[in-house]
Amino acid sequence: METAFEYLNRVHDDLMDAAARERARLRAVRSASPRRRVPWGGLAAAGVAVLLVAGAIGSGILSGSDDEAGQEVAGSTGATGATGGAERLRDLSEEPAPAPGVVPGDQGAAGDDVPPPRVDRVIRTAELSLVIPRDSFDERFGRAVDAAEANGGFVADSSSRERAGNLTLRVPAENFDETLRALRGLGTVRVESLHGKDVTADYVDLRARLRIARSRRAVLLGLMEEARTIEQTIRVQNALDVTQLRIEELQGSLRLLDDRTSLATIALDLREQGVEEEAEVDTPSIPNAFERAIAGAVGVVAAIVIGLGYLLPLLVLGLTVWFVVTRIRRRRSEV
Amino acid sequence: MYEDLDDVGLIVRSRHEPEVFGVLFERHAEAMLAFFARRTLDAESAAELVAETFAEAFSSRERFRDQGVDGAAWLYGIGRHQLSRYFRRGAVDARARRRLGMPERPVSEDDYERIEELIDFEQIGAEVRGALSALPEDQREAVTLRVLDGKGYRELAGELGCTEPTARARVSRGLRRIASRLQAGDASEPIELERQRWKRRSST
Repeated sequence: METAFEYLNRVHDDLMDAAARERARLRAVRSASPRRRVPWGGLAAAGVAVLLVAGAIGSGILSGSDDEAGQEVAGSTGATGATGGAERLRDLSEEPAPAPGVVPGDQGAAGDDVPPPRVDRVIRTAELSLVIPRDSFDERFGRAVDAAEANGGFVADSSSRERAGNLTLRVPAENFDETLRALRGLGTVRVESLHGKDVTADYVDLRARLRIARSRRAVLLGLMEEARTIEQTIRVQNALDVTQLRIEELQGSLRLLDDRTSLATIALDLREQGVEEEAEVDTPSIPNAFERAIAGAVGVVAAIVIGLGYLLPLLVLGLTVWFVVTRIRRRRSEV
Repeated sequence: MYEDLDDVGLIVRSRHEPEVFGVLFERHAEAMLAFFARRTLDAESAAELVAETFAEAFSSRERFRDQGVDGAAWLYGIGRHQLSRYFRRGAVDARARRRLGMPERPVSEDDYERIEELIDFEQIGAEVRGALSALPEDQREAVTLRVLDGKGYRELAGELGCTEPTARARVSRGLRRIASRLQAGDASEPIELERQRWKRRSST
């Protein structure tokens, strides 16, 4: 610096020294962080916060959908929802009653004790849970048995404990609704669920296969009469045995179907007021624990993914604002 | 190399190249010294105010915003702030210099004389004369001999019967009091006028 003032020259030099130190500091900062220093701690905290929020949102949504699903289930099994199921079943039962009869062309097989064919075959089951007044268990239990027997049914199974018990009733399908109606009158319906499984196709298929097997047996019986040698007799006999076994199996299946369709099953639960439902004892086990752990982990990830989906638009908006503000600030600082 | 840049350009450039600030100092330091000298009437304070003002400006260059304000005006704004602090506290601040690690330099005798020349006592003599009556006896005598009679410090010390530094201190204290009174009456001038005056003085 060219000046007559020695003081100013010295201050100039001091200022240049300070500038040199400042330049060294700037260089150190730049070399220490060639790329902008990333606030990892802050970013990690923000990430965790986002995941937590996403998880909360996701779990909220999941539980919400579970509730909806639960409501749907309750609707179908509860007293209100049972109406729909009952009506559906009622529609089926109100179809023309399956008049007992014999399928044409099958009359010759009547001697094989084949269940009579029906127009439709529906396995009907019901679960009914009733709350009955205090000190009325024995009386209501008896009335339930009476209701089943009055409708041509019987008690297939029963168990009782103090002031509560279960009954498995079998009643003719045609008296199913009547029996249910009588049972509902025993107490307050807590849970009612009705199920119907149409097995008509299975029934028809079994009958067709039985018819073929019988025809085969008739042919084999004819061959047996014509057998002349021991070998021929043995071979035909073996074939006859297999066919007969097959016929019996098919008949058994048909009887089972007939039993299930002709007799409806009602599982009745009676409980006096104030008696708690037996808690299901969940015995912990290692495989079960692993399954639950995996299910839990998957559930958390699913919740986070769902929550992130909801947060995504907000994140994009936030990043855009942050980007714009940063650009504006940088431009101002450059000016 | 940076002489083509205007003051604003220098300030902005100095953010990434701190040495560029030296050009700004070279460009304005002497004018600012005169500016402070006329207002403080004290060479030492004026010199220190220049140093402190530039130190503060250097520290604040990141905060400078180019909003149409002249770079020199920004600089003199900081100077005025320092000046008002000086009049309020009776001493020049040194915080900015300490922050930057700049030492507090003494003013040499030669500089003392030269800076006082910048004050242009002839011009402000009339104003000083009016304020003299308010000074204590020893300071009034010292200021009268120095400012009105235009005597040097050696001669002044002989007449007052004291050492040269003592004579300088009396003049300094007396002038500072007068300057405070003049400042109270707002003797500030537009910066541009100050700069023009400096240029005129430099060319002659």
